[in-house]
Amino acid sequence: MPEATSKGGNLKSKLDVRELFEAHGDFVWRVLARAGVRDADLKDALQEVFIVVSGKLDQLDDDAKPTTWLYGIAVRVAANQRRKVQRKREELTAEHDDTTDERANPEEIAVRAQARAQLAELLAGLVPDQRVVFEMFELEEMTCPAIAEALGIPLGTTYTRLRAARAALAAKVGELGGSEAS
Amino acid sequence: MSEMDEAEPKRWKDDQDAPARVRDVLRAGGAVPKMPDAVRAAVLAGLPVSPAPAPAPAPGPGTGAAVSAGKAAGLSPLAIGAGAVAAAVVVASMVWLVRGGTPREPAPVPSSRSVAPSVVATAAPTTPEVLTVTPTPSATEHAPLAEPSAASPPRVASSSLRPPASNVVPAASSASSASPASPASSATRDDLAEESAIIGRARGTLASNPSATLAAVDEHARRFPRGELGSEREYLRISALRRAGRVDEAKTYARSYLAKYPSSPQAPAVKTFLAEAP
Repeated sequence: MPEATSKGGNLKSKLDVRELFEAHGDFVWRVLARAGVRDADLKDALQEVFIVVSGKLDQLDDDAKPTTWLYGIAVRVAANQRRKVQRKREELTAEHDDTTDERANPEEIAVRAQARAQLAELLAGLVPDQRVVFEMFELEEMTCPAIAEALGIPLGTTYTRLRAARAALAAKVGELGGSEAS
Repeated sequence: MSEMDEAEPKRWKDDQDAPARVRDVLRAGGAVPKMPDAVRAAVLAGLPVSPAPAPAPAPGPGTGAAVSAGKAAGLSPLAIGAGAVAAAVVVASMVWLVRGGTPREPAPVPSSRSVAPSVVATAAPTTPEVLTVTPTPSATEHAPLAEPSAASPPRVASSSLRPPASNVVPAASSASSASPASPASSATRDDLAEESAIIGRARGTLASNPSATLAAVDEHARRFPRGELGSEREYLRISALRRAGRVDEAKTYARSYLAKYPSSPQAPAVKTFLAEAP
């Protein structure tokens, strides 16, 4: 199994949070959205992820892949954000400004929010290592070799984690998932 | 490698054999909206500058102009979130440009000494790497509000800027008078350009004339009560009030700032200010 070539060596010294944002901002945005962050809170969550990142740039191992790292932070931030929203709802009903919703109508927003909440719940049931592989494969539509490269893991491991994630989800919804694309 | 390709499974959302409920959820919930340009601009604007700034670039013609403009406007003593706001101006204007803003002659610089137009002009080339501009003194992003730490030299626009391809200047005063020709979503783009113009003006006068900053801030608040650059605006308001010696008002606004933007990059500085203000 060929090891994913590590470009980490000079990453560390060169990494700039703005460059990371340029390269991975859209990915993080999608991860946050799928992790259940509401449209109105996506901007703040996204900003928070990269603020956290900027504080930890020097902790990034040479071999660590930014994707793995960003994914982990995004999932944590999303969880915090959801808790915060929950709290805020309980405290007051002040409207949050919906800056991210440019022209969707309320119904669309509601339907979309519900679909996303279900997805978030599904994903939340997966262990992190499997979750990222599953999400990249099923939703980012990356190929397994590309996922292996992005996460810096062997291809075989990628397949194994995808299978495990699928099995977990199939069990969760009480169906015997197909034959893992035999 | 062919073996690996064979092993590539089918995606569940396209697979009739996948568990139906998961497949439905993947299809319905997986389609997430694209990040709006305005959000990209706002987030980039709020990002701290890397702790290890890139070495100073060989000053191209544009860079030099921007830096001297920054000096002229007294940028160096600001050091407070000015970088974030400058970035907002640059980036927002970039968005405006990239999305098809109509190039036009440089507009007359507004009466207040505004840095924004020059900075914008520097960032004019519509190449993606321009977005990696790091337009601020480093390490001052989170500097306490009460200390205008003037130690850092002004680095208005560094990095991979190329000489400007043109003198496209969506300047403060012109944003309202000349609107680009594209019909769709032009409101958003115009708004963003105009918002950043006003914020750029507010920032440009902070050191020399805080009341001008406050006037610009009020203008922005009036015209864009739910604008993209609201947190930048309110941060400037607090800074200007403090500089004008209106500390009590600054504190009031600082408190509401923290309530409204608790996780903004400037929140730590605002907290420090509240803790240390007389």
